[in-house]
Amino acid sequence: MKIPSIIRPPLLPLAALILLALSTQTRAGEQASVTPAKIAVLAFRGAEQALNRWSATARYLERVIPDHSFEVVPLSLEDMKKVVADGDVDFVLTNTGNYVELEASFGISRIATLRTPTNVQAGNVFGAVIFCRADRQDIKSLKDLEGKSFMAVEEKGFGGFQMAWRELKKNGIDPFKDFSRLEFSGFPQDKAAFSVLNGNIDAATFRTNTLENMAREGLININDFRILNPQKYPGFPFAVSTRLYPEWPFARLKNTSQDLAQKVAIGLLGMPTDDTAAIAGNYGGWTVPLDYQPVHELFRELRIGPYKDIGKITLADLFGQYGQSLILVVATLVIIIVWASWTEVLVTKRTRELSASNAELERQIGVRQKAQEEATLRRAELAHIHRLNTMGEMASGFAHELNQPLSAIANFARGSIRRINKGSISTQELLSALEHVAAQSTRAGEIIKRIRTFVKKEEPRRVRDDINRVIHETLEFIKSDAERQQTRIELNFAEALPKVEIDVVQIEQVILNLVRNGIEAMNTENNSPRTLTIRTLEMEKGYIEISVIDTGPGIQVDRLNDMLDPFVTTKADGLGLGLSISRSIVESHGGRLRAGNFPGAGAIVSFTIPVIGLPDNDDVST
Amino acid sequence: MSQPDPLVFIVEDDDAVRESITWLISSVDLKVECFPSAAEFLDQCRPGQAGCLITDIRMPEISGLELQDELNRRGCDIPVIVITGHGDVQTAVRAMKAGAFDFIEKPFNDQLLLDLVHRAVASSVESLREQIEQAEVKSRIDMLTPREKQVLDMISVGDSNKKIAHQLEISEKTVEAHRAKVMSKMQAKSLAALVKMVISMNQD
Repeated sequence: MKIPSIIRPPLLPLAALILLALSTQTRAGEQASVTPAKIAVLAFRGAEQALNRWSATARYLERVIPDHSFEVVPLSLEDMKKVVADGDVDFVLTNTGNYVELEASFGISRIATLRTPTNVQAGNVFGAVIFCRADRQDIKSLKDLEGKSFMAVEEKGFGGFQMAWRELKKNGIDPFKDFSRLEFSGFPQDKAAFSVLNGNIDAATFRTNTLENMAREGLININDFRILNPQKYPGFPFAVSTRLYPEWPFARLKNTSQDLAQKVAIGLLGMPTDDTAAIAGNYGGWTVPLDYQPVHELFRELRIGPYKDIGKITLADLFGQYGQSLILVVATLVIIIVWASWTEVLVTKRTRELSASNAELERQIGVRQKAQEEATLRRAELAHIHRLNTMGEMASGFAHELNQPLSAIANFARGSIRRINKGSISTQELLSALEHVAAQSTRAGEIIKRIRTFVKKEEPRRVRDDINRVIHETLEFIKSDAERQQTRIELNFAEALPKVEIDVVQIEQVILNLVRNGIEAMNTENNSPRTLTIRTLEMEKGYIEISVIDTGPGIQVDRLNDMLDPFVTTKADGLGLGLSISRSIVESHGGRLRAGNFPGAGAIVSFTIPVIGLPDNDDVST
Repeated sequence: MSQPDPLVFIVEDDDAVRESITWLISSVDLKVECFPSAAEFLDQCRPGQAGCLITDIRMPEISGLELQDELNRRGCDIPVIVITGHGDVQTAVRAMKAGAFDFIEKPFNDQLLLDLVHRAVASSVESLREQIEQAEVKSRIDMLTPREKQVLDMISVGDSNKKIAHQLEISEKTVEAHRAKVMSKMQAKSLAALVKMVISMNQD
């Protein structure tokens, strides 16, 4: 099973590494001629042995790649991992198994594969032999090894154990459980052969060509041994019990300069098989890097190396590997959820607030409307009461007015009675007298009607009317008072004024109030002529202005500000409500009431009424 | 000398009221002349005309009170009846102080007005008669000689002939002669009548 390349080291470290790689890559290229390129080699038999073996190869490389120096760094398996992880070396030369591990973890990649020193065809592969003493009749196949003692070179050894392990496993033997004894001989590997020979151990394993070498050196007789699970591969002459795997690779690190790696690869591949470096290193030159997939498969089967935890994925593992991206994803999700919820909460809250506001506004509108209606009612009531009050104040005037027709009626009637009693009346004369009586009764009736209309508490009603006519009508009330006060009333009316929409009774009330104030103001001046001028004119902005000008003493400047306020009066027995009520009436019609002084005369009090264009069917005047 | 018929003048600006008062007063056979304003009346005022004036107090231009003042200024002594508003005591008082004959409140009882008018007219007639008499007396006195005037004065205070003779240093007989002359010129029927005439003169 191939691990999909997308499930690789987490993104953030990867990104950082890429950046680092990009920066160091160039540096590596620049520094090559200055600093020696480091080759990490696996020194499983000690640093000195490693140096002896590989120094010549380094010298060879220096020969074929001018301006470059190479340094061999012998390392143990643990140090190898660390050094590669830190990126402290440029090349790695290690055994097959370790390479695969490093390849999986740190992405080192092979640029050449070692060849065995002998001139065999399949020289760049090797395997392991599993053997027992030839005279053991109880061990014929791998399966027979169950319950026997076994010796390998070292637990982490690729050729020294792991290859054999794979085959044993394939044959249903778990080396850690199914042997009576499992021992690791360590180096030199010869020990295993001797142990088998002297019966210390039932079976052993080490890499191929070891037995042949020992036989060549005269240490053993190869026929003393039985090869278990023997395999035959074309071009591979040595005894082998396992599959074949590629020899040691020469690998570059991910950050190693591409240029240098290429030069090294070319150099290695071009090494003659009998070069001093090859002889010193006990190998036969280098070949094109092989496919290490079989190694991966071995590791996978045995669940070791990079595949240690396959199938045993724990949450900790997941977290360790994908932790960062997981955190990122989870954090993002959390943020999104929180933000969405928060927005939701806010929206709900705002909606609720808005609804509440809305309800409150509607309620307030309702309250305000009601207040306005109340205010209009109150204003009408107040105006009415003021009218009553005014009528009361004018009562004597009314009485006088009514007395005129009444006196006339009485005189006509009495005169007629006397004449009839004396017998000196003609029908014509009597008729004439009675007609007078009738006419004067009507006159009295009109006066009464006018007063009644004025004091009636009617619903305020707006109609379109001619302001000049309304003023004329109002003056009927005030004529007798003016006469009593020796006051002349002058009318200065603009002609053909547009109609205004007014509550006739209320506007008459205002005019009456202003005229009476004017007459009263002139009451103080005994000798000067008392003239009250009433002026109407049309103003530009669609308003009609009505002014009452007297020839009195005028208004004192310090009174101008507050004279329109309620309860402000100079009259000893006055309430001071007249002007403020008048102002209120005018304003409710959309106009303004102002008071001031008229040059050359006394005070002027004027108010405006807007001209509203309406269809004519509401006309009152004829 | 016969006087012209007494005339009642009415000054009232309200047409209906003026006409109704005219109607009322003419129903008792009094002659009426009416004017809508004081100004028009003043133009017409004739001394030596008996009668009375009825005027409303409340009138435009010239009020009833002002009319009174003007009549007084002109020396026109026609009795004035003032029509006041109901309950208008102030105005009534002022009118009376200014020499009105009387006042009447509106609306008025017709009998009351007519009574007032009759009285005013009678008073006017009487006053006119007195004036004529006075003028007559005056003209007679003017015809006395100075010595006769002296005698007249002393007779009217009740002095005896003897006293008068002594005072004037004339004889009693002369006094008696003057006395007869005075009585005749003055057209006095009696001493009492003569005294009355003298008193009426001094009342000017």
